[in-house]
Amino acid sequence: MTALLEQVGPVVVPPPPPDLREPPGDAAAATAAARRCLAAAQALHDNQSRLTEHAGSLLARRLWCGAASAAFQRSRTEAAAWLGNAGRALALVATALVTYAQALEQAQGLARGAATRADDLRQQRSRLLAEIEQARSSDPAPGLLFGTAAFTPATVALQHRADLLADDIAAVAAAVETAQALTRRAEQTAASAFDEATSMTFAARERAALRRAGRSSDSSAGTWLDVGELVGLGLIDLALGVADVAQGGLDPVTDAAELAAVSRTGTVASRLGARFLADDTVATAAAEATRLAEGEALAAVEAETGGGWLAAARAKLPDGWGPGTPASKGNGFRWIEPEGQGSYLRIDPGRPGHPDVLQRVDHVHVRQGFSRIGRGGQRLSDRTADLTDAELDELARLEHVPLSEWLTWKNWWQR
Amino acid sequence: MTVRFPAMRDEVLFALELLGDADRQRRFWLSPEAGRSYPDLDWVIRGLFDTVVLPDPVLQVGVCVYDDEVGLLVDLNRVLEPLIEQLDDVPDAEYVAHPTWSEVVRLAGLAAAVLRARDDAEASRPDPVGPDAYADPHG
Repeated sequence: MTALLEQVGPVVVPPPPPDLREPPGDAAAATAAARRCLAAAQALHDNQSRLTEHAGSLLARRLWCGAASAAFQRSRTEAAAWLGNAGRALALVATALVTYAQALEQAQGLARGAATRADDLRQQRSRLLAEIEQARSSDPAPGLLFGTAAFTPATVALQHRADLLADDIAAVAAAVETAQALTRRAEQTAASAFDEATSMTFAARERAALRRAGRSSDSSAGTWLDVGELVGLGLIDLALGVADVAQGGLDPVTDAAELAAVSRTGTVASRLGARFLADDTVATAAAEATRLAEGEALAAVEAETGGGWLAAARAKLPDGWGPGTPASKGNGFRWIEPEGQGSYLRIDPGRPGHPDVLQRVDHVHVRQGFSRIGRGGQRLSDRTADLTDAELDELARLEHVPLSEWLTWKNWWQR
Repeated sequence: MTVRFPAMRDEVLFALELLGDADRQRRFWLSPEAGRSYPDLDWVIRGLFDTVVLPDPVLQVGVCVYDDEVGLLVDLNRVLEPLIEQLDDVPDAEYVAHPTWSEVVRLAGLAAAVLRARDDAEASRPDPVGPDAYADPHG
């Protein structure tokens, strides 16, 4: 009787769970690539610091080389900015890779769990179908009782198991969907980070191009700008490569491509590693560029100082005036009294072809308490509005003090 | 109210007047009688940048400029500083020949006129400048 009752009533059995594929990709490789990106970013940061510190030490040691030092000041600022920018870009990529790896690992774990559960559900479904078939075959009047709408405890139990099975299969399908969504979101985050990193370095490339165009008539600063560009352009190559990866494997349109896209993005870490990080190219190139910059700067400084004569010049100035800064226009250097009492000193390199003989040699402009100090140590008139053209001409001539004379003064403003 | 350092203001004003005077530039900067040391563009640059009035004149308000003069100087700097960065250490004649130079002259002349008018007004007051205005702060 019981067997008969169990055969009565329709039992709706859910379809089997979908076929599951674990999201492809190597989270461990992505993590390893992130570590290398971070190491490269750290190397760039270290080199940026070294470059800045080195420039500071040149000034602290009171070395002077006119055009070379002024150009170095400019180029090291740009090179340091490039290094910092590229370092930040790499750190951004590293962060994106870590996020991607974590999401991928989570998604793969979820998918593996879902697959195991799906296998179990398939077996449950097979058993249920077998039991229903057995119930159908034991029906004393085939098609008569089993096809009616009557329910017995046995058919209700079968339907209940079938409903539970349907719920479990739906949960597995949701887990698969979650895994896919996790992976897609990780791809998009990584793609955005790569785009941002690329835009940062595109800006650097634009700056380099402008710099090249702007220095066509500037030969004095060429060496240093070349070094700066080497650093900048080398890092841009890196960023462009990263952009290739982003465009080739992490296009946001993958949102619609489900697991097929995941399989492509799974190679991102290995592609990064193969193209840019396998030989620590970034860190090596940055270190080499910085070493060149430092070495050439020192060589240029030592070549032009001829024994560091400006050390004596700088030593004449009050300590509180600091290391000085490149002056506006030309390759001069200036120091300004920090208290703002109007004193400053500016040294300009000589211009061999200048019509004024006093400007053909390295010369000094001395201003003490808003008073111009002349070649003879005298205070020159400041009331320029009252002077004739001839007097202005004489005033302008007298305020150029040859550096060689000024170095013999008893202090920076008194002859 | 007067500025703390009128002598510094004089220097800035003279630099602006030179920069805003195309006629003087033609006579002294482009003249074949080169060999003179008449205040050249370097003088102007020292008068404006080494006195730290440019590039950020707001820092010198009360020192040698008044707050309502800052805008004029900022406008001038917006044209002048990029030109210096572009041309750097070329002869003065190349600056004068640059397409944007006329704008530099115009803005400098405008600033000079405003500063001059202010100073003339101050000078007409009973006690315009104290006796210590030109004192040597170091001795």
